[in-house]
Amino acid sequence: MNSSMRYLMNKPKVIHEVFEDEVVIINLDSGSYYSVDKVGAEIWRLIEGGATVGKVVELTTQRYESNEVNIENVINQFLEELQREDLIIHNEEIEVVTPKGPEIKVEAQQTAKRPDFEKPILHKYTDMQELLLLDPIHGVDETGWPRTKPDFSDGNG
Amino acid sequence: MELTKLVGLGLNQIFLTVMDNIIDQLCKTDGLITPVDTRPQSFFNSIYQTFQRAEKVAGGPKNRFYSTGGYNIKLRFAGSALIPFITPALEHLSSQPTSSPSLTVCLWDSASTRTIMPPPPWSMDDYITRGEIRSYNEGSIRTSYYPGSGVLNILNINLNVAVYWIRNAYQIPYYESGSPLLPILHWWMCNHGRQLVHAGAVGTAKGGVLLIGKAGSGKSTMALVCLNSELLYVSDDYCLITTNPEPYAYSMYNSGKVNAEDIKRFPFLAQSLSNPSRLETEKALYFLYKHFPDKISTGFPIRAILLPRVTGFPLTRLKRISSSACLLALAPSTIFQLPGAGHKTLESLSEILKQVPCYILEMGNDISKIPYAILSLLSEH
Repeated sequence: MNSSMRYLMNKPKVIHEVFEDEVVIINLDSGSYYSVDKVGAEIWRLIEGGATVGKVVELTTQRYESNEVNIENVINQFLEELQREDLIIHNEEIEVVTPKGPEIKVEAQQTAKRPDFEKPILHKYTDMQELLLLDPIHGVDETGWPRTKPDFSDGNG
Repeated sequence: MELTKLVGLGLNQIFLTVMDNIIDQLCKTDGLITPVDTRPQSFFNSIYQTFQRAEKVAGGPKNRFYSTGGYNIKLRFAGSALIPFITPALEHLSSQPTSSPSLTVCLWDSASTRTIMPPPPWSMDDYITRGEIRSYNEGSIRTSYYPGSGVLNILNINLNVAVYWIRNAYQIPYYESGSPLLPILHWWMCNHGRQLVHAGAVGTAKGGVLLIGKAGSGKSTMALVCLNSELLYVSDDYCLITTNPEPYAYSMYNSGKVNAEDIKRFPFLAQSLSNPSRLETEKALYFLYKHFPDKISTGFPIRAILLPRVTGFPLTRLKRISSSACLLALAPSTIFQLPGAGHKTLESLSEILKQVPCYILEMGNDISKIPYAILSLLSEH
């Protein structure tokens, strides 16, 4: 993965909210939603702040003990997963823009003992997808409005 | 703008309508102004005029007034056909008539008013998820149509006027009667500092709890169990919340739904059931206000948020959880049900979670203990 590459949140179909060290992400189109915490949440916030892939790797490497894990590879895999889920998109347009340093929240730790790097995990939930299923349409009436078979099954609640 | 089209509108509405038309004309003639899609506005105007014709055929308006979230809402029915299907869920919010309601909803059906609905101006491909219509949720107009229920909801945010239409009032699905006007109330309240949420709510006049979780998670059971205690009932499935000036829950519907097999656990509900003869194909729908008026509250401050969980263990107990875990349970089940809900809704839900504590309520085998657990929690907050 090119280290100068940047990503954008896939707005408006993807919305998210940051809570302490966790991020809740919702894909309005697919009906899937996600949570990611710790290192994953930090990476998400860096990406949101406009950091390049290289900057994300640099800051994460400064902050954590790698414990023989290749942090760059893990971050690249995580970003690919976010892309596969359609949560972030490659941003070609601002690739040459200067990074927004102040928006990057992760600070390099200069202390001797740094926390161990934990592989970021994207938790995915699909139990709400049925709410997005379209009602079956069985043709239209003489005025053009869809006719459906009477549905007395449930509703959402 | 024809003057005849302005008859029946208030001064404020006339001003906004005229402004809408001036802006429309500017957009068509002045290349300096970005053209806007005028189809949603035109469609709304067409639907509103059709409602007026239906109302005339039906012999004039039949008005009902309600109050929730600090706002007065006028339901203006064209004839009587829809009234018994729409009003029972709102009866506890009934208020005095007012000449200046915050929101007016015009309701009609084609069958009883013998008034044909204009054809939809969109194509079959424009029916998208959550009842939304592609390109008809622009500017001040919000539109949804649910092929399953056959209900059209359309709101003009600037005019504070909405139209609700169904082909035949007698074909309205039971769940629509349980929570009528949901999209309209969501759109409008969202613009007025209130957020509709998928949550039950029980408590006392001093404060209560939101009960969250997806359908089937135990919200209705918990709310019903609390009817036999000193706790009051604000909602089963949907309520309005605000964080200004403090976290507060407002009631919307006095209705509830449970699976037919669960109805045996609550024999007192028998008198409140609206569909006892159709329980083979429908959930049991009940309206509580008629038989339990003293148990219904129009709202209270929110002291905590509870996520019910059936454990199979004997004890009922509360376990603190993080705000983000709570948001995972609350936000998707709310947002995926409401047309147009997105970032603003997520922000509103997050805001309240930052202000009140969240717990899992592990429901023990003896569900009669649940109200005591909630009352105990409320006594601490």
